[in-house]
Amino acid sequence: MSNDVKPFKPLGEYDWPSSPVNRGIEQIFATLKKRFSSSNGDDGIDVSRLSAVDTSWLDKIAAPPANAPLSAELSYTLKEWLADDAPVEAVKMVVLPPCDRENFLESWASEQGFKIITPPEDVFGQYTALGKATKSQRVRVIPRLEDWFLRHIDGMYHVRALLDELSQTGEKTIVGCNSWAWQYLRKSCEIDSALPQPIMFQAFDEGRLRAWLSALSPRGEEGINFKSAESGIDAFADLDEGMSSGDYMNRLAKSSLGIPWVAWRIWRSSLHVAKPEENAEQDAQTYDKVDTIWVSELKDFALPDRKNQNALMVLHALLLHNGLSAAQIAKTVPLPGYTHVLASIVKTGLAELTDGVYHCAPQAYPAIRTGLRNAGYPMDEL
Amino acid sequence: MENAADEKAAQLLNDFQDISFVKITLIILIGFAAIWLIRRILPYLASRGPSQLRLYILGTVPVLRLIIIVGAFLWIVPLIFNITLQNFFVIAGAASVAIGFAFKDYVSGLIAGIVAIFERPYGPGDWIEIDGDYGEVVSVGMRSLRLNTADDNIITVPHDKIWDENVSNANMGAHTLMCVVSFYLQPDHDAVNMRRVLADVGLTSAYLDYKKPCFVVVAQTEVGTHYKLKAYPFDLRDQFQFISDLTERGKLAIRAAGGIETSFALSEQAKTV
Repeated sequence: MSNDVKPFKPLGEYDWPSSPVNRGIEQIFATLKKRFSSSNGDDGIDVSRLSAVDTSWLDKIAAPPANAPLSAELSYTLKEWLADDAPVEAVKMVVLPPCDRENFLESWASEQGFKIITPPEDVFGQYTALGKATKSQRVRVIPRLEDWFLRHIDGMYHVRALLDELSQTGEKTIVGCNSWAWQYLRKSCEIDSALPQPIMFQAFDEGRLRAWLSALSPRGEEGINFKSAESGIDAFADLDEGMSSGDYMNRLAKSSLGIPWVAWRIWRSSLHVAKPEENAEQDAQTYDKVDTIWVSELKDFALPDRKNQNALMVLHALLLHNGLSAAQIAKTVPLPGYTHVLASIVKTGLAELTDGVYHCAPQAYPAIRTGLRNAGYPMDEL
Repeated sequence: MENAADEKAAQLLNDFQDISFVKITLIILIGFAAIWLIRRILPYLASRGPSQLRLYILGTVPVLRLIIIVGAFLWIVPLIFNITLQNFFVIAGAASVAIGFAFKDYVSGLIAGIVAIFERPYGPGDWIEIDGDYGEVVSVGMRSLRLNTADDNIITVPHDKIWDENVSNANMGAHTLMCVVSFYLQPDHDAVNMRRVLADVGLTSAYLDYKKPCFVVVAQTEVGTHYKLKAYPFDLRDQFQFISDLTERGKLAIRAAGGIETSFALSEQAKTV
């Protein structure tokens, strides 16, 4: 086993990069520091001179997918179970944090050639039993259990029928579920009694993030430097090397809660280039000549609070289901008759609207989670 | 020399010129200012901070106020009175007469207020019913408490009600409380299915507290089959929205499951309101 491969662990053993209390205190200190610090470091750059990196170029220096290291880790974790033709537990449960927009488990299952079970088109419709995997497919994979229900009086039928079937199946099946849906299904369907103890990846601490994100960029070959816009210090600088003041990766690990797709989104949104001089010609060639990427400080999202109860309820429902259309939101959230809450959460960057479906923005997830916790909402547990 | 000491001991009040009125005034002003600040800052922090800490922070307000008042009292008394055992009895006797005739009810309220802080039949943030009034305790003063009812009326209730009235506390310092929604149905229906349907109404509510139970109690009554859906919202401030949500969706679910609500029970309920 390579030292870099960290196997998934049982749910509940997640090593948070920073506790909620510490995060709160650190945020206060960071805000105060920002407010009272007189200027950027000697080698930093004025943020007004920065512009966001072009998406096509962004894909070269912070290429998708946002979950690359996890594939090998999951394969390693399930190696023995996959090799066993008649394992004691026919079902393996994988719980993942929300906002996984690239559907990690489905991509992984696809790479492995496993049979992917698609969710019902209509959760209010009739349930049909799961098909069996062929010999070559070996394993059935249900990538997102949250797609099998809607928190509605008539929306639980499918997931309950599915759990009934899975609790008695002898077919090897991997079930994925997001951590918020898992908690809800524990309450509404006693899922933890029907399925085995879930597993979950290990948190991405600063070391893992540094190794992963630095490997994404062609830093060495093309000589691109990633410098903190505030201090000018290398963004990949290691704390152990005595450059703690510029330890961006440490802050990124904490603010992303150790979740790779959250960290990846924050990382991409932090990357900037210095604006070309006014008389310089700005074209693709100019970007290619850039040798320094400036990493701006992490963006603070306005924390939703209890006064914004409608927004919190919608965000909670979005986390629970991983994404909902406006019609589905109307079914599952008791909103007052006339509201612009959906437009408002998109405008503030807390949610994204893609093909008519609202999702929580991955980079805003830590703020949303803190807001929901402070307002007393039922939380996920990792 | 001995006579002078005896005279001094017998003197109830300190010499007028020895009493520092400036100091006493300062103690009173600082005490009032501290209480004023506590009564504003802590509720502000409670409303802005994490929901889980809200009731703990609010609960410290009356305790801190009592500490400040007792501290100020113990500081001021020796500045005015010459405290000896003999004088103590004189002061206590005079105070007993004054209280017994003039301020009996007021002092009863004060003492009940102190008892309420330690016995804690209610605290700030709790939802209580006392003397027929149901509401949230918004402040606990020395003599009385203030309730904010669901209709946003402020009711002032003297603490001495605890001597002879039952106090019903719905949450007792917890962040949630049980909400009960009643449905009366005509008896001819599938009660097993109806109970399951109503349980799902609770389990699919956006306000539900996952850590608390959600269940349905069914009983046959003279006016029909009585279903009580009992569940907890994750924040007690949402109790009325939660009850409304359960009622709205419960009615729809009952109709979809083939149940019919009894109009007789509704008219009986209307009479009691």
